[in-house]
Amino acid sequence: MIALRFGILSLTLLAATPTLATGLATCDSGDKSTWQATSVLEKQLTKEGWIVRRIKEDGGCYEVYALDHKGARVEAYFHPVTLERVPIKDHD
Amino acid sequence: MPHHTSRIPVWDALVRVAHLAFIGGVAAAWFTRHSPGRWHEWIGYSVLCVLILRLLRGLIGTAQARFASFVRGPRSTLRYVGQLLRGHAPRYLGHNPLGAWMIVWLLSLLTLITLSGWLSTTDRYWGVAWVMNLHLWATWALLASIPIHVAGAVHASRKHRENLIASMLHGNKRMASGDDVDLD
Repeated sequence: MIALRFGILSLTLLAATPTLATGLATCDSGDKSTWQATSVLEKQLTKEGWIVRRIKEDGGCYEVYALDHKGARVEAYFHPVTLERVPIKDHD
Repeated sequence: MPHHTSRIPVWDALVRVAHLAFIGGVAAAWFTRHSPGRWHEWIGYSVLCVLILRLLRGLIGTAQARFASFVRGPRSTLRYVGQLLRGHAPRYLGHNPLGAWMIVWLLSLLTLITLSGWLSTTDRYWGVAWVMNLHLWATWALLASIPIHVAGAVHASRKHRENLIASMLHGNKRMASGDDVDLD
């Protein structure tokens, strides 16, 4: 039953792999009730000339996919309480 | 019985190199998925190129590389599953019917993953949720399927007393004899 054992081992390893946070950035952002709404962040970025495509959570931060004022693709992180930009390692 | 031990080439060079490239490419893409730089993207483009070659080989390739030689209909596949469950599935020189559907499934997932990955780097589909989710879920499906694929190869190897994993490296297999199935 080598095949079965291999299957179980692989699935266990797979299940143990952390998947939720990408590790690109983490924000010490506390309870979600203190977070500002994503719509506030979107409004702030739109004012700067960005076209916001998607805002999701990652590592306690807001992760934004957008085209900036020059039309360049940006993946950027923001602190959900202060809405300040969180630096990430160069992704380009 | 010399004809029982004679070995013949089954998997051609492109099939074998593509197989290794998929293993290396998937592993490398997985470990660079959140890395800075463009490694993940370039690995993806490379896998897509190899994938295109493998798909073309499936149309105009050597005997066992061609999809038409190993993809079988639901009736033949179910009959094979029945034989497998009763413990006397015949040995196939190429892919067995169940293994064949696994190949089709894995190649389809690789196609979805590489195309959705490429799409998500274009201005038009940048940050578009369904493209990113497709990339994610197809990847999870692939990672869940690989152990089943390997388990199938190990099971068939033990049943038919051959090393299918080694065969996929050097390309040769024991000639078909007795109830073995060569090409239909």
